[in-house]
Amino acid sequence: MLAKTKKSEKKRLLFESLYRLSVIFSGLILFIIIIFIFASGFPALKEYGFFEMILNKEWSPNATDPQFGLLYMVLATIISTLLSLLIAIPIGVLSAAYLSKMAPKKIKKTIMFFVEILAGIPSVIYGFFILKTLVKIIYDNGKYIEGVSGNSMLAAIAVLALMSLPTIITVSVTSLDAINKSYDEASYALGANTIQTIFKVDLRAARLGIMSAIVLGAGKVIGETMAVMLVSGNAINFPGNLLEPVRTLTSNIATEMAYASGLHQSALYATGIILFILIMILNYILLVVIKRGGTSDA
Amino acid sequence: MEDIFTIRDLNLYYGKNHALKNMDIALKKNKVTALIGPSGCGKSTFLRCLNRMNDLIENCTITGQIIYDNDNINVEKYNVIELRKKVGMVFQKPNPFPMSIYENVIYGPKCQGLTDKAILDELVEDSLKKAALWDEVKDRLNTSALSLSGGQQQRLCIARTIAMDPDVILMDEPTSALDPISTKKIEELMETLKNNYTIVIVTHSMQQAARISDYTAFFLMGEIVEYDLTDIIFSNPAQQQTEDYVTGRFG
Amino acid sequence: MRKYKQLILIGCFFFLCSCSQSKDLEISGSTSVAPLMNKLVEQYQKDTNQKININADGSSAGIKAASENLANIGMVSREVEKDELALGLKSEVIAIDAMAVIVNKDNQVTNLSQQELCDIYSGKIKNWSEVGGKNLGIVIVSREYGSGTRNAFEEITGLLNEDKSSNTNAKAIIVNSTGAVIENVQQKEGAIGYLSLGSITENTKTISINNIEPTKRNVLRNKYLLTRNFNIVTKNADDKTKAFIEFIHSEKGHEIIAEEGFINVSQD
Repeated sequence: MLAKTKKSEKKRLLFESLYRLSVIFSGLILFIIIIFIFASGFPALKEYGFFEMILNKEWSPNATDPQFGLLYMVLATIISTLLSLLIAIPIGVLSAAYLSKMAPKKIKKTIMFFVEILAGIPSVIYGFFILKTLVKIIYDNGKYIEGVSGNSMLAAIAVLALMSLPTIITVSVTSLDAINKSYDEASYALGANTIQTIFKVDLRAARLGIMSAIVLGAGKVIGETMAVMLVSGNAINFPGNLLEPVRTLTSNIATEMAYASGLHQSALYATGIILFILIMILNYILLVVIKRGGTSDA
Repeated sequence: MEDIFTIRDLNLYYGKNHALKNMDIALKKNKVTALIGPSGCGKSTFLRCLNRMNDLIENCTITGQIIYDNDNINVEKYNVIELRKKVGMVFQKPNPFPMSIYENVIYGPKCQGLTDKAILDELVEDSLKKAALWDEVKDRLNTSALSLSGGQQQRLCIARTIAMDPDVILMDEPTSALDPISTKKIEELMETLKNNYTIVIVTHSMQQAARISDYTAFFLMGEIVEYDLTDIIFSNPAQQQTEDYVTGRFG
Repeated sequence: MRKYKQLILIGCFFFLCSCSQSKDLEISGSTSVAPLMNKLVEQYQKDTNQKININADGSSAGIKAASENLANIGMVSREVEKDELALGLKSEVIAIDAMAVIVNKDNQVTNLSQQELCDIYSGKIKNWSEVGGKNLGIVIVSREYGSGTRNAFEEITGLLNEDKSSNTNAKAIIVNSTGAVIENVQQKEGAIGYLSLGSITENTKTISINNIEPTKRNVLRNKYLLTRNFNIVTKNADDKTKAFIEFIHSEKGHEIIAEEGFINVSQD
């Protein structure tokens, strides 16, 4: 008996250390990556200046006095993220509300089947789709206008909205499905109609889950590189006109990393650092919004 | 004594399952009517017909007439929203919304467009008083409803229903999930409520039915076996099955 | 004593080994030349046992390394200056890189002057009608910063400012591969792009520059504008270096150069 206990005790200790190691390992990897990026980007930040990088609009890595101004790209990233989320969030959440609370079971099953597939498609496919459709349409209709090539911020926004939509829908539907059916019953019994029930009870009760859906969608959007590169034109241009090409921070890194060396390369890593900071800010804002929503009741 | 609900030849099917069979019954206004019977015999299903809550269930077919206020409510065109304003429901498991106590009570009126804060405040106080909950929560109307005890939550649900100023309050086993003290409180509440409202209550407890109701209907396997004054049902029922049930020989 | 002898022998062995490290051939310089050099080195290493290392830090870095004897060969994708030669370097051309300018197959324009090309890329000329084509906006397609092709194109065309910053219009579409240049020009009627002459296909439509067509002949005759020489510089080349350079000039070397899309220097 004693021998058996010792064996299972050993086993338990073994697994416990395995779990501990895994946690340490994952944390360590993350830590190392962050350190690596910051260390690689630090020379450029030191040499050129952090605020200089964000506020200067000129990006000329090959000039005798190299300029690493990311202003236009920071703006392009922020604007395209915000506008694409502005499109995707209402459409996504309302579609989820319909699918979860209004659609007949068969329709819901069919649509969700396709939406789940769409959620798994690599974003570069969406890029190709928009490239062959929207970009072409914009060019065909605007080729007489100077500066219009089809590759544009509008196309970038379309791609970003499209690829975040399935994620927002699937996670929102899951959250809405999970809320207690008794809330719906109570609402209807009090004489509310379907729309009122959805907005006053369901969306509110599933608030946390829907926010997670939005955070996931936003993360996808901010970090998207390939699909945006295909359709945005990669031009270092002031993002003031939806029909003109722009370059996002992610595209900047991917476009120039292959041939860059020395300070130029360091500046690209610094672009990554700034992207990192933007993501942190976005997550913080969303967290605050969630917390605020949470404390207003319970 | 006026009839508030007249049901004629009511049949209900869940798909192929014939759940309610050929029901004919007239419920009395401003009285408490108890629906009793063993589990699964159709009491709750019947109750839910009275405010068209079975609409929420897929594959449910209802034939026959349910006449309320001189209108057959069992027609496609009938305005269910209006119906539910007049016929409210309290459920077995208390289900307050995850909002504040105040917001729970004003939910129904707000859906109908009432926004005047002064009127809403008064309505809240009035409804909570009628539901015998006011004294316990008057200082924390903005706290979450979920922080209340089970019995308090159920009284809140009653207050919420009363806020709509209905004619009828349907209660689906309202105390079966509560402790004896809360149960007693709610039974006392029902005594006061019946002066102003018609109450139809589904209950598993014959003692409860005997205590609080004026009329009782005995359900068995989707049929109404007997319907009469409570006193008669419990002391001198006409049907053998009724007698067997109320004396505890089965169910 | 025996033990001492053994130690000395081992020491000599290691010394000889480290000596043989200097038997490696070091090549350093232009990123534009590096891909071609890679292919030459690949073949050479198959034929001989010579180990070769390539370092692509830029033409200037290559010149510096060669002059300081840190590299046996420096790769240079521009002209070697007089003061750089004065450091004791010998320079020779190994291949010629030419760039073609392509337009959409439906574009009627067949020639552009250097000035027009420059004005188009800077954005001064915005419509094809200004250069004899139809009323259509010009879509500029360019390569990314760091591309050797872009650097050469801008330098020769006159798109570089004094501080070496680029004058290419801000609204130019930037792509980072030859394939993407071709794709964009094929898809958009008003597009114009540049690429290495060796990359043109039967689907690309080239135009003449200053009325000279982008042919091999015109390049060798020094008539075509958009050309640059790939040079190598050496300082007191040793045997292994000389052997490799001989290989570059050999038939096999020339084959590889042509395969990669560059133009061979005619042996006169």
